Amino acid sequence: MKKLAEKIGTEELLVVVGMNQPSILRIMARTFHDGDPSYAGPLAGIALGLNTYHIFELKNMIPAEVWESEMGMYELEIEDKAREEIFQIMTEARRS
Amino acid sequence: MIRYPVIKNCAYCLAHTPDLVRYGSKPRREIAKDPGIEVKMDSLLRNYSEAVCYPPNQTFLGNLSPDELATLPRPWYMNPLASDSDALQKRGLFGEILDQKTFYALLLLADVLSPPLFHMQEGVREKLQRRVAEHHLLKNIPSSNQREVSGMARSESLLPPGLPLRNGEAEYGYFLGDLREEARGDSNLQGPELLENICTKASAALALQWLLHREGIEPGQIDFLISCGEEACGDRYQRGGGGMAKAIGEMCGCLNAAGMDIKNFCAAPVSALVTAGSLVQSGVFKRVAVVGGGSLAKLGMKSQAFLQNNMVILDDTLASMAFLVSEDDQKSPIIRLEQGAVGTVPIGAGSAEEEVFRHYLLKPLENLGLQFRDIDKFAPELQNPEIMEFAGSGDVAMKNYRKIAAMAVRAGQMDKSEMGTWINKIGMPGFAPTQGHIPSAVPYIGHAMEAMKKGEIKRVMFLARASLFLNRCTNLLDGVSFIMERNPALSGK
Amino acid sequence: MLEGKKIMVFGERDDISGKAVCTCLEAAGAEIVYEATACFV
Repeated sequence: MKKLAEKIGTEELLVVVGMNQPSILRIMARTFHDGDPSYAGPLAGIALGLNTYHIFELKNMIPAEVWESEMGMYELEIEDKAREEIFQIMTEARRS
Repeated sequence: MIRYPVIKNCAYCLAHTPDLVRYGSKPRREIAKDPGIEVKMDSLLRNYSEAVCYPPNQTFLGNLSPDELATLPRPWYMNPLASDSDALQKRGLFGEILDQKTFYALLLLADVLSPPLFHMQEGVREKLQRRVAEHHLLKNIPSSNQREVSGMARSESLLPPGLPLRNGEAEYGYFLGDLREEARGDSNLQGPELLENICTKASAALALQWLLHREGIEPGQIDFLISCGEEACGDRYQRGGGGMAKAIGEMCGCLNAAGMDIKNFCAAPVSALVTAGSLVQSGVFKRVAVVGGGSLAKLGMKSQAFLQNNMVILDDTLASMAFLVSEDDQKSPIIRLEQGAVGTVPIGAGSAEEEVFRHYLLKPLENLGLQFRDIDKFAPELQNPEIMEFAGSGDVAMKNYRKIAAMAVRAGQMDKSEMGTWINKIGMPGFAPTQGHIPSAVPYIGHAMEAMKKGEIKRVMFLARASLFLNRCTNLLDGVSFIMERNPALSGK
Repeated sequence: MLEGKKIMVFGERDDISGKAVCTCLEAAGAEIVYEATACFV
């Protein structure tokens, strides 16, 4: 991933996740933005400055019919408060 | 009237193997990077009594029902069951939890090679043989007559280092792997890979012994065996070639049985049960046993989280199971096998979640003229949430219940607002160790059989998912399901 | 915003599959440069 970011450049590069567990989301978003928080992996100390989004945050940018067939059921599955938490985590991680 | 095959009996067993956790895939990789991890891991291993009194383990063995487990305070590892009835709890309705020493004894019985796969310290082999002789079921397993490598004068330098087998502080010996010239340089036949296969074989044999015992039949009465484990046995020219079913059957003396292995990732047990049912319904075989051994690779899979939190390592237990599928006995639960009753996901369905669930959840219901509310319980992936949640993987059973309920809403059979209450009714907490194929729906079969016997429930749907994409040959994921019903001959009883 | 973007996608089998995320993003004109779906079980 580090190699990919170096090759493509970070300007046009984004990370989009489809994971719903808060602890994993926090680690991933922070890793791509600020470097590996465990200071162990290949991204340790390397701040790529990449922004990470959860796919649910991008709903307005996806054609409605594609969204409905691909994401309709996923949206139903997730409880409202879990969705709010995800939005909050992602916003915070991008701001930091 | 259509005759259906029945699930006549079942068995579920555990083997508490804390000193094998280091040979799980994840711990092995982590220890290679930092040997200090092994020391820390050792300090966080559970003892046997803790594993016995762990409520999800008691549920797996049948001493607690999933509904009872749901009422117990969490975290379960900090709220163990009382150990005063310890003797009773080592055995459950469906099987038992073996201690590590006895499991090592079983491993030795599973070794058929010359020179043997194991080299044990002086006196250990005899000590372990006594364990077997004292065990009410293992004593039925014929001895493999393995001895220490003779003529090698036990000069350690002549042998490759092997994997140390410990029991707490005590060194028991080594797993050497295949010492023969033919195995040299074959990465499929080295210590960890071969030990994984032997663990599958030994743990499955324990479950099969329990199945025979519970059913009260002789091993020779089994016609066919299907193994549904996740191991891949074979050498470099046929990795994953198979043969596990017959290896297990041979160990248990099922001399009249043929067998084969079915591979379908986590969904293999459900695929195997559907196949077994079909073989019986078509009259090809009368009694088919489906067996699944434990996964060494998955021991300690989530251990990193436990190490970080300084808590006991909960994924320290191998699990195994066995089912007997036979002709209708007018008592046991039937497997609905008419056309359209078995849920599958055709290749053309792709990997979009809704399509997958439409095919293996909604379609079978529609084909049988059933509604979601006609199913009393749904059994999806039943991983113990406690192990998953600490690792940030979430409650997998609950995630799957949300998916099932979401499908019911999409099918117009339920309002979104009803999802939560309905899940409470048709759901249950996960209680199986994180052993891949083992938790996949089928741990509930035993409990369902008991509940059907009492007339508490009538119809259960078992839903298994398989991450086919992990094979790197496709992006597909799979789903397989079947419906089990209280035997119609019991209606009114 | 997504048109012409290069995107790395990480999904999870029991949450949202990476493939489903890719299908949505591609429909919005993005290019997928990396996709992985984890299986935590």
